[in-house]
Amino acid sequence: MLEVDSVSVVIDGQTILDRVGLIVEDGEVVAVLGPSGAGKSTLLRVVAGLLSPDQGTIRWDGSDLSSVLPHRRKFGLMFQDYALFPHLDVGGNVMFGLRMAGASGVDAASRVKEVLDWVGLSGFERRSVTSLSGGEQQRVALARSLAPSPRLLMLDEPLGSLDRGLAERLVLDLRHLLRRKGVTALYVTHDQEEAFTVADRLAVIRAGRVVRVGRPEEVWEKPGSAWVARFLGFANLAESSITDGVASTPWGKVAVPKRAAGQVVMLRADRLLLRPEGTIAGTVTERLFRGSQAVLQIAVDGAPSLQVEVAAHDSPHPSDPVRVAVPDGAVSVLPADDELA
Amino acid sequence: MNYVRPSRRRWTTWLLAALPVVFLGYLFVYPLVRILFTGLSGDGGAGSAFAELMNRRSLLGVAWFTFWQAALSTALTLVSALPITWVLSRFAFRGRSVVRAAMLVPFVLPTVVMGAAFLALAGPSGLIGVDLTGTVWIILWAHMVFNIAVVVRIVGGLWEHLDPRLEEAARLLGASRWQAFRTVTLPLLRPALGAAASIVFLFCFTSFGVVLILGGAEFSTIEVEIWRQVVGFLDLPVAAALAVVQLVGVTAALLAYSRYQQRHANQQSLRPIGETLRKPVTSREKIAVGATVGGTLVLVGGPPAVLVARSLRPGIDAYAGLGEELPGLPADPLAAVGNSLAFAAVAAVIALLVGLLSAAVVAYGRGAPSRWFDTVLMLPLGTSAVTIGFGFLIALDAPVDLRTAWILVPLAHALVAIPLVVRVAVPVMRSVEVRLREAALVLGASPVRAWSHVDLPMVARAGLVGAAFAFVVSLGEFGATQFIVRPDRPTVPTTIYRLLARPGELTFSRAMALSVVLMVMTVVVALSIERTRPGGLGGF
Repeated sequence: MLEVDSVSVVIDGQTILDRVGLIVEDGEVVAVLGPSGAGKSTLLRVVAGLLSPDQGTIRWDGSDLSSVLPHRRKFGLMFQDYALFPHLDVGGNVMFGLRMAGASGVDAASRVKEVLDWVGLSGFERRSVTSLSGGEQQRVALARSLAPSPRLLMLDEPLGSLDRGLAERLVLDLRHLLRRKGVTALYVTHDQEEAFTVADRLAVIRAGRVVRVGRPEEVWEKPGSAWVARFLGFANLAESSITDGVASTPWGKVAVPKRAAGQVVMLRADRLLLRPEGTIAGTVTERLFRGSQAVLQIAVDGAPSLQVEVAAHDSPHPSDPVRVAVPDGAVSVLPADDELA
Repeated sequence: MNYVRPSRRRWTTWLLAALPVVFLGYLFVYPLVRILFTGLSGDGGAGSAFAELMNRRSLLGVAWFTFWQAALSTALTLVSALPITWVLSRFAFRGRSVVRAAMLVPFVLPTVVMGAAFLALAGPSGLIGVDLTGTVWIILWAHMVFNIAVVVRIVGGLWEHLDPRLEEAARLLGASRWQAFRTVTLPLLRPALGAAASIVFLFCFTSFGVVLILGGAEFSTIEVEIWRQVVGFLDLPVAAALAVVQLVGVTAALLAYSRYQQRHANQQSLRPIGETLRKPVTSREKIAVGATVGGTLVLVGGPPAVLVARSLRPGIDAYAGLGEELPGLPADPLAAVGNSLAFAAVAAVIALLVGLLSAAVVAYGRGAPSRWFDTVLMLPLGTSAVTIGFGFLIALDAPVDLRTAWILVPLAHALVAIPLVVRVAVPVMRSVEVRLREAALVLGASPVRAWSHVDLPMVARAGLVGAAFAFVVSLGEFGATQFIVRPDRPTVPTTIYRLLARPGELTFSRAMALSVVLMVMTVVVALSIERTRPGGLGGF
């Protein structure tokens, strides 16, 4: 079990990580999700031991790692852009960690064969790493970091430099491989869909702070703050005054749970409905086609435009007048952004 | 130049090549051929000079010494340069660029200045109190200080672009710091290490001024021995045979160099400098950086500093006395400064003219002839200075006897400098994107106007740098000049050598002062090159 306990990193007077706390249980995949520059890669470098924290400790199964050098931590790190050794072939790259652990000969060779098989690159041992496609390099990097059986695998934007289609296919392979082998992993990404797909739990990080931790479904259902909601792609957020279970939003009054705390009301675009009896009247200004779904931008008098997701077939077109109904499940109340807004 | 039809292009290429071909043919290839024939003929019939080489134990000993001192100097240079190369390639710290420039200073110093500095440091009345002249130690030491810059430049040029994450990846896969260096960094640096080692070996193998001044009667390299055979014994065939033997060694080093040059490091692992440098963080790193920088600065800065201090020992008098004539010297030292500056200016103009024409052939020409021309152009750089001077001496008596003409000195200097001009100009000429020129054409410029508006402004800068290189080379050139300089028009290096060869405190302190003057002239020009030169790497 990995424990990141109140870790801070200051570089050139700038706080990169601010009292970050995080736990990764054995066999669990935790995704660290945040925009670029949030400190995700720095967190991995601290856990790997490539960077010493200014405060806080990293523990493995309860023992402090601060005096353990990177090469003795038995952690694997898969680098962004992979950092494959260009002077070694595929087999040499995958073999490297085994060699450093003192393995050699038949055992090491069969381990190389085994992990290359896992990632679907059987027989690639003698290929030069520079002759590989981006997706193949990614898989060699994965095989290389898995070969010495690290007790923790860290992945830094492992799909970041691949094109979208390839990344979507590989993320499923990655998920299955990590699950099947019971790998304990810390997975850094800026892509929420990727994080939702691979992770058992998410830690959303913002400007060096962990702002939300939870299972993907929990985080999606309760983002916890307006910033996280926006980062996850939610629209229709507005500050509103709430009295007695009724929020006055720019789009009109909506019912909210009695005990809701916070000042920001969010209307979930995927749960709003177009209904003749809807309370919000507006005009469609834009219709974005997304395959089975369409996203409508609806101009509402005296209010920000409203985003609504509908089934693509038979959906209204720009300049059509519509009415929007707000069912109970469509309303979330969130605390306002903190001072970091 | 896609817009020029092939037939016309070839014609233009050969027109451009005409002057360089005649220049190199007459001043380089022809003298070499004459040396070869002189060595082969000899007084006792064909091959007798070579036979004599093999029979004379002392000459075999010279060849053996030349080889092993060069090998040992190269090894010492690599070992002493690697720590500072590592620090400069991996860490960002205040004053990094100044330290980097300081590492280059010994390299641009003329050999006689380096010789004078080491006399002041470890000579008969030297600072360290032990007279090391006439031992191999002072030769190795001087060669090491001289060539650290080569390693810092060539190896550092690759290392500072090498992705540091490769080493981190190795660390996380269980490699210790040392294992990561040995199994990842070192193999990736191998092409640069090989190239640097070949160049350093070449310089030490053909070392003249340093060995002549510091080696005493005990030690001479082939280069020094050629000089002794010609000037001391007038034995031209043996000198020529020695020159041929030396050419073999030089060619081997150059072949090794070009082999390493072709094996470029893998592009994927190269990163812009900004991504590879970081500040030293832990106290261990800070100590390592500080100690390495301090130690290396003492190593390379020590000899020049001692030289300056020694020149000031009699106060400012030594400098004030530079205008006075000394008994036995044909001209006062200040006159030599004037001669040197004039020679350097002429040499720079010649080198620029021939060099830019040659560069144009290499950069714009295509196919085997242009590549072949490129290789031939590099040869004067590898050929020893003494061989060039010796060749001038025995070959340039026809069609007109040039051997006593003053122009011979700047011609020899230009010959040595042309490869440098070409190295600076070719990358710039090639780097001008074809699309820029095409854009100019589409906008209505004729091919000539397109070239003069797009390429010329960039090439002009490279030309300026190349000319400055030629100027520095000429100021410090010693080996070739010794053969062809007229006694009544000495250069600064030959004057320093004559002053050093004469006994007495007065001449010695004059030699120190004149060395400082030459050092300042060279360093000023060299540092201004460093500021204006395009790109960074290359240009040795």
